[in-house]
Amino acid sequence: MPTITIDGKTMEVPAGIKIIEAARLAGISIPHYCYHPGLSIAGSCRLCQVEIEERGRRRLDISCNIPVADGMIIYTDTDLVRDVRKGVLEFLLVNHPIDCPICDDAGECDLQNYYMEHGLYDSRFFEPKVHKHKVYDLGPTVVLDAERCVLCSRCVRFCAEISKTHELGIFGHGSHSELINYPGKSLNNPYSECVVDLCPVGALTSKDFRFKRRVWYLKTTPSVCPSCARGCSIEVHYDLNHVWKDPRARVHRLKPRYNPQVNDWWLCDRGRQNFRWVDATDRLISPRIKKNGVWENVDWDTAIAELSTRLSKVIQEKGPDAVGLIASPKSSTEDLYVWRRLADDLRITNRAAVFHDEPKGEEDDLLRKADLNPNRYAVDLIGFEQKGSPGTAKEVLDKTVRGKIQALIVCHHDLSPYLESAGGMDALKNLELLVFVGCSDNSTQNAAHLSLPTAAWVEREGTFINFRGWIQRFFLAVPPMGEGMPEWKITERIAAKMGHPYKYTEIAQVFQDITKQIREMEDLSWNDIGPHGNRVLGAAKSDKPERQKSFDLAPTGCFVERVWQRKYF
Amino acid sequence: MQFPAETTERIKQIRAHFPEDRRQAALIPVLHFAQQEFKALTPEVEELVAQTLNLPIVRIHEVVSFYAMFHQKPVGTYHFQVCWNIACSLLGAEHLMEYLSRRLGIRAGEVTADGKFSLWGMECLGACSEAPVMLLNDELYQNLTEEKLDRMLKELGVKSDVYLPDAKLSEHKSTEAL
Amino acid sequence: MTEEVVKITSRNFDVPRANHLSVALERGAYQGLRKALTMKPDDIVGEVRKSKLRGHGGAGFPAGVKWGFVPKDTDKPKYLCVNADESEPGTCKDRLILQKDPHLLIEGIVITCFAIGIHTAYVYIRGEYHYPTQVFSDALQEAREAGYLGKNILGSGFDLEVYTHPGAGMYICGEETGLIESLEGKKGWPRSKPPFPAVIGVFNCPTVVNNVETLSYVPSIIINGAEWFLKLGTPTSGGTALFSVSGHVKKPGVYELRTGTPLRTIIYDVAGGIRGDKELKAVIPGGSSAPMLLPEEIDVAMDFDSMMEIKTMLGSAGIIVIDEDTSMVDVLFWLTRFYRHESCGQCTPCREGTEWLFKVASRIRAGRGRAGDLDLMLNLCDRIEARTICPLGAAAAMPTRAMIKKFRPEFEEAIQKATVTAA
Repeated sequence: MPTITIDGKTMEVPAGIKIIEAARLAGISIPHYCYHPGLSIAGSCRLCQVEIEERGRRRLDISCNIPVADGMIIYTDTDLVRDVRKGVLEFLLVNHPIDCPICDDAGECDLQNYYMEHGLYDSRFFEPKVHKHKVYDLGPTVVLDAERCVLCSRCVRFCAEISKTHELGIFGHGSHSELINYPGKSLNNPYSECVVDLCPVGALTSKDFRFKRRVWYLKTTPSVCPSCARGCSIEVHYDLNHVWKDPRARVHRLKPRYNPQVNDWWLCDRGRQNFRWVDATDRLISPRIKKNGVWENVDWDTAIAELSTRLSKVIQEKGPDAVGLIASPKSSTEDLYVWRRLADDLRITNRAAVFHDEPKGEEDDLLRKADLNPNRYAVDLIGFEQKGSPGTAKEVLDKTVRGKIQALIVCHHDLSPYLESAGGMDALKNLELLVFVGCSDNSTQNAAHLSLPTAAWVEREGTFINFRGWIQRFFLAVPPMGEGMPEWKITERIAAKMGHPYKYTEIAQVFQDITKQIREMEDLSWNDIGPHGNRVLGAAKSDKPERQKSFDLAPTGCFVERVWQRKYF
Repeated sequence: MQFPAETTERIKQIRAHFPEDRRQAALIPVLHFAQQEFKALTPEVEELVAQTLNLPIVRIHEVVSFYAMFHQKPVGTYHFQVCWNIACSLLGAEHLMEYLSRRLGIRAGEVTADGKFSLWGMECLGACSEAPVMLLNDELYQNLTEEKLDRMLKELGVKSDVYLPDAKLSEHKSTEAL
Repeated sequence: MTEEVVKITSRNFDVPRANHLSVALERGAYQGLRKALTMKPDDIVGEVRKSKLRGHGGAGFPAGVKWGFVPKDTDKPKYLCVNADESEPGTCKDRLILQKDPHLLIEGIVITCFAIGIHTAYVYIRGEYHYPTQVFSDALQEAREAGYLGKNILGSGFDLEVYTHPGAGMYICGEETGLIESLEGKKGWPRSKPPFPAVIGVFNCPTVVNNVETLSYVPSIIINGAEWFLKLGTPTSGGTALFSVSGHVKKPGVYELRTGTPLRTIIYDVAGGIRGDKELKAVIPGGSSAPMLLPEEIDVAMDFDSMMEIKTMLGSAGIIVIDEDTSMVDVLFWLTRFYRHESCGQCTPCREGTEWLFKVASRIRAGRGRAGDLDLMLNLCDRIEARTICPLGAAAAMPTRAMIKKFRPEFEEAIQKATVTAA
C-alpha cells in the first residue's frame, strides 16, 4: 500500500485511489463539483486542485484524476490552493444568477457552501450576465434553470452512463455552453430524479419538491425504500415543526443513501415518489369496529378484546381451520415473525402472504425489481407458509369465498382485484369476522368488521430483507399518525389477549428471537446490522460488481458527516 | 429524408477509416456531407445522421452546436466569411466588414431576407500574410480592398445602392447568433 | 552565421505544380523514405532526437522525445495524428505545405510512422482549408497509386494508411487532445493529462500528434543527417523554421529562415521593414498566444529557448507586426474576442475568464472603462493561467497580461477618457 503525506499527515492508503479519495480517508474534504465516484471523471470544474509534490517538484493539479503514488506529498490548504478555489468560485458566480431567495437548493447548495467556506470576497463583476433558459420544463419530474448550472456535466454523464437514456447534453461552446435536453426529448427515464441529487446547485430541481419546504427545516432519518424488492437505502426528510402550504405534510422527500451493496448512489423515481400516502387523508388513524354498518372508533383495548372474543368463538365453534390469515410481504421481518408465531400457537394453517398475480412493476438491470414488495424474502426465510398451508394467498382467499374460512385477517392487501371473478367484496359478506390490519383505507378495509391501524414504515423501525437476502434496518422518522401501532405490537397484544403472552416490549427482542429460531439469521444482532445492511446466511452473492469505494456523498455531493450515522449505527 | 446514393457511398468509405466499434469518428465528415446536401443541420437532418451512424441524437446535437462551421439554419447562397482577427484587422478588415454591411444591408451574423447573402465575422483563416482575407463559400479571397469587393458584388448582382448607411461594427451581433 | 539560404520545407513553394507527384519526384521527393526504409526504426527516432527537431505547432516539444514516449510493447494499434488545424492567429505556413508540397509532408508521415510502428495516420485539416484539403487528398491518391502508401510500401513490408479528416471550425481542435476528441467525433473538449496521448490517445490507443511543418523536416533529417539539421539552428532547436510575417510590414509572407535568426532581421531585412516607413510599436512573435514584444526587445534570437528566456515563446512563429498608429485598445479587443470565441467551455476558469476579459476589453474600447479594470484583468489572467485543462487558458492570459503591462499608460489613458462612468 502506498504511503502518502497529506497536509502533514502521513498515512498508508489503498493503491490506485485518487487523491481526493485519499483525502477523504484522512478526514479532509476537498471541494469539487464534477467529480463523483459513480461516474466517469470529467476533470472540468477545476475546483479540486491541490498542490502535489513528487520527486522534489511541486505542481498544481486536480485531485480527482490523479492516483496516489508512494511518497507523494499533498497540500490541500496553501495560499495558492485557496486562491485557486476563490478564483473558480468567482468565475462561476460571474454568470450565476443570485437566485438564492427563490432557489430550492438554498441550504444544501454547493455554491453557497463553498463560497461561505472558501470564497467570501466581494464581487467585482460589472458586465451583463449571460442568459439562458430559466424555469424550463425538462420533463415530468425535473425543472431546469440553465443559468444556475455550473456545467459540471454530472447529469449528462448520468444519462449517458447510468440510465443510458442520453437525454441531456451540453450544447454550444465557451460561456454560451448550455446544459439542456435534446429539443423534443424530455428527461423521462425511470431514474430521472437522480440528476437532482447529483446537481450541486439549483439548476436541476425536483418538480415534486418545488417550493414545498426550505431544506434547513428538514430533518433526516435513514431508512429503506419499501417500493420493491431491491430495498434501496434511503433517507427520509421530514419536518414536524412548520406548517406551510400543506398542514398535513410531514415527510417531504426521500433521497438515496449510499449503499455499495444495494443501490450505490441511486434511487428510482417510483420509489422516490412513493411517500405522499403517509400523510394522506386516507390513513387509518384509529382502531374501529363496525356497528350496524357504521364505523365506530374505539380504543385499542376494546378493539383487541372484540377481536379476541370473536376469533376465539370461531376457533371454538368451527376449529382453527376456519380461520385464514393473509399477511403481507410489505410488513417488516419482525411483523411477519410474530404473525407466524401467533398462527403457530393458534394452529392456523390457512395462512399465506403472497398473491402471485399481484401487479408487478417494470424490472431493469439497474435497480428496479418486478416484485413491488420489500420483504418477500423474509416471508420464505422465516417459514411463514408452512407444511399444510394452501400455498398462496389466492388459495386462502378461494377457501374463504367457498365458505371454508369464516374468520379472515388481512394485512395491507386490497382483496378486490382478486375477487373480481367472484363478484367483488360481496363475496366475503358471509364471513363471520373480517379483520383489516393496515395503514390506509381500501375497499377491503371498508368491508371489514374490525380495522386496526398500523404505523407506516417511516413511523416505526424494523427490517426488510431484499430479493437477494440483504437485510437492512429502517428507522422511525415521524411519530405514528393517530393511534397507529407497529404491526408486531398489534399481533403481540392479540396473542396476549388470546392466552399466548410473548412479552415483547421492544422490537429488538423480537429480532433476538428470530436470530434464535431462524438459522440463516443466527449471526446477526440488532445493533450490529450496520448502515449498509448485512447478508443473511445462504443468500446468493452480490449481483453488483465489487467496489472499493466507500464514500458516502451527501445528495449534493459534499462530503458531509451525516448526523444519523453517529446516532443510529 | 435520405442521403443521395452517392453520399451514402462516401459515408461508407469514411467509416472504413475507423475501427468498426468507433463509428462516431465518422460524425464530423458525415455532418459536412449533410450540410452540403441539406443546407442546414436541422433536427430532421440530425435524426437522419443519428440513424445512419446509430448514435444517440443528443451527441449529434452537441457536435452540431459546438462547431462554428455547422449551421442549424441556412446561411446565404453567398456566404461572406470575413476574418476579423488581429492581422486582418490591422490591415482594415473592420472597414471592409462595414463596407459589406452597408452594401448588403445586413450586419455580421445575419442573412438577407431573400436568403441570398450572409455576412459572418471569422477568426483567423490561416492566410495572414495575405491579409485582409475572406472566404466566399468555399473559396478564399486574399489581399482584399473595397475595390475588389465592389467588383465581386457587381458580379453577384448587388446594386450599388448603399443600405444601412450608418452601420457600425460595434453594433454587429456575434456570429453565434445562428 | 552564414547568409546561406537553406530551404527545406519551402523548397518547392515557388515551383509550379510541385504538388504533382511527377514534379515532386523530379525535385527529389521520397528519397528520404527510400533511405529510411533501410534503417532500423529506433535509429530513425534517434536521428530525429539528435537533430533537436522541435514541434512547430506552438508547444515546441522535441519531436524525437515525444516519439520515444510511445510504449514499445503494446498490442494496441498506434496512431499518428497530423495536426493541420492551423488556427493560431498570425500563422499561415502549414497551408502552404499542404497545397504546394504535399508530397514532402506525405514522405515525412511515412517515415515517422515507420519509425514508431504506426499503420494508420489521420491528417486532421481544419474545415476552412477547402482548397488545401483538395490538393492534399489528390496527392495522397497519387502516392497511394505509386506505392508510397498502402500495403508493402516500396516492397518494405511496411503497411500504412493515411486518411484526411476535416475539422469544423474550432481552434481548440488544434490542441492535441482536443484534436483527438474531435477526430473521435465529439466536441473538441481537451482531455486532462495525465494520461498523455502517447499512452492513451485516439480510441484509447498510443498516439503521436505532430504538426505539419514538424513532420516535413523529417525527410531532410534522414537524407542529410541529424548533425546537419542541428547546425542550421541553435544547440537546442535544430533546423530552419517557417516564419509567417503579417501586419504592418512592406513584404508580408512566409519565410523559411534558420532557427535563431534575430527578430529584427526578419522584420527589417526579410520583410522589408514597416510599411510607410512608420515606427514599430509592438510585435507578436509566435502567434497571438505569444506575449508581444516591444521594439527594444526585437534583437532576440527566434528559437524556442531564447524566446522563453524573455518570457514569450516562438510558438508557431507567426509574426504580426504592429505600427505606431495602432491603438492597443483595439488589439486587446481583437485578441480577447478570439479566445473568448474559441474557448470550448469545458472548464471553469477559461470559460468564464475569457468571456470576462473580453467584456472588459469591449467596454474599454467602447469608452466605458472603469478604474480598476486593468488590475482586475491582470488578476483574472493569474487565475486562468495554469489552472485549466489545456493551454488555451494560458494562451489567453499570457498575451493579455503582457499587453496590459507593456502598454499600461495607453490603456489608462483610454479609461480616463471614458465618457460614461460605469454603474
